[in-house]
Amino acid sequence: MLRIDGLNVRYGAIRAVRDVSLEVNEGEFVVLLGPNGAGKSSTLSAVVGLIKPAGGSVHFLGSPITGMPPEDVIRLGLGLTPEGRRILAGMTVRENLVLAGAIRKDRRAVAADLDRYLDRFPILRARADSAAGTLSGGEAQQLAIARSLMAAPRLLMLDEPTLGLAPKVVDQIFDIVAELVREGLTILMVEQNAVRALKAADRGYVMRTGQIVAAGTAEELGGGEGLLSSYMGVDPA
Amino acid sequence: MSEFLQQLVNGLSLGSTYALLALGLAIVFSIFGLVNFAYGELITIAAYMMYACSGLGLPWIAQAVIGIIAAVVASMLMDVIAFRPVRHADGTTMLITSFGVAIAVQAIVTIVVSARSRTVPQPEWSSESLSFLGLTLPSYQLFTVIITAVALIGLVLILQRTTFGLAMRASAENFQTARLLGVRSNRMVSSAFALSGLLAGIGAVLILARTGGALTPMMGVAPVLKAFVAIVIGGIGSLGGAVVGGLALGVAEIALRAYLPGEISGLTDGILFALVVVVVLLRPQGIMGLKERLRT
Repeated sequence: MLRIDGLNVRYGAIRAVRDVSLEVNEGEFVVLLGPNGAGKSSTLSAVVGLIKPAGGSVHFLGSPITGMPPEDVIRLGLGLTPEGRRILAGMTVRENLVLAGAIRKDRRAVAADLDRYLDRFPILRARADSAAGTLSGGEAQQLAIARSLMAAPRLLMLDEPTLGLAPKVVDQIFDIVAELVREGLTILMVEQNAVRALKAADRGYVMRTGQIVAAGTAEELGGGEGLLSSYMGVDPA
Repeated sequence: MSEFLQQLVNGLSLGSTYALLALGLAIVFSIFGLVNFAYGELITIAAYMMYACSGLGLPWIAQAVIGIIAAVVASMLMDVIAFRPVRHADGTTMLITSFGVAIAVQAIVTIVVSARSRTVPQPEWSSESLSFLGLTLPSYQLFTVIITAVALIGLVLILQRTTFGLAMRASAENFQTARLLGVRSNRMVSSAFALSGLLAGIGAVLILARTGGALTPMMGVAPVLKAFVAIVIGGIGSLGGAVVGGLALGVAEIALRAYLPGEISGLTDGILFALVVVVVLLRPQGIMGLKERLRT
């Protein structure tokens, strides 16, 4: 469904992403792991066209989307829930959701989806007309995910959805992602919590200093515990 | 008391013009990241278009409409011809480009028309006065307040109630995030320039009513400075702040003009700009600005 071949991203002289190739098939839940600064977010940003890749290619549903602007990529059904959530703080919760649905033609389906996601995330219904900037971290993450879903994506990329959240809220976010997977949504998720992410996912890729250094299922990657010491240079605390 | 009220109305009338102009400058800034110093020349273009139309014998209302349309078209052309090619360059490049556009327009107007002042005859009612609750109001002031109120309310309705407005506000808050949600960047930038031109055009009509229709090739310079000061006071990047800043600036300017001793009244603008420095020192994010905006 999504195929990345030899992707390169440069910031000036720094090569943030080097020859990264990966693939996500329809219905799969794939995680992209690695320590801070490994190039995970840069990879996703290049895929959706937020930054221009210095080389390589990206195909989605068989068509090339390399370097395509983000507003066109989302219309093809490839969504990104960005790192840091990036909710529009000055707009209301409802406005955030309505705007995200505005790219779809079928107004009635959009209205139905809005209702559905407000039911699914009750806190968003309770806060629908408050400024989105007043939400807590976990609430904002729910809004960010619901907002991505409003565009009816076929593949959703989640960039560090649990970053900076309390353990209980992290559980909640993992539950939401698991539910989306069960419903058949294809997901590529960037995550630092390797053990937990691998347990939930079908497969994983491990990045370090801009390159993919390992790939496979949870078993093949040793359940993720070994990753911490061997690839990420962190103690499995 | 009535003297005070009179000055207050006077200040609000001038302030509402500044608010309108500041909003036009702030819209482009918040979406495109450019303080467009050629914005003042949109006022000049609208005014000279009205002058040309009055030469053709068109009625005032037709002059005003054509003048405003000219400012909208000129603003969108500035975007396509001058700013789009340097869109990915750094802020300084864009800023210098805007000065270049301003100078070019001033030169063209000077060559085509004249460096000397011209006059667009204003409708008779604009020089009349109305008596109201013991106040004597020049009718152009009332006209200014009404037109600005209508323009601002219209703009607020568009921004709050339409999908287009939603996309516009999202783009103003965070352009990258808006694009991730599918907001078309080129269309938003063009729309921002069009709206900016619309506000400059309306501003030109109001300025001419205030000054009795006097125009010079440099007439846009002072208004763009005032509009810039207004958005700095109000909080750069905040559309609501632009309106608040404009009103505050207008009231402060009229207060200084009315109450400064005669021998230093020439310093009005100097004192005004010094006050701005004080505001920025005490509250760098502006009256309505969020602290966070400074970081991004």
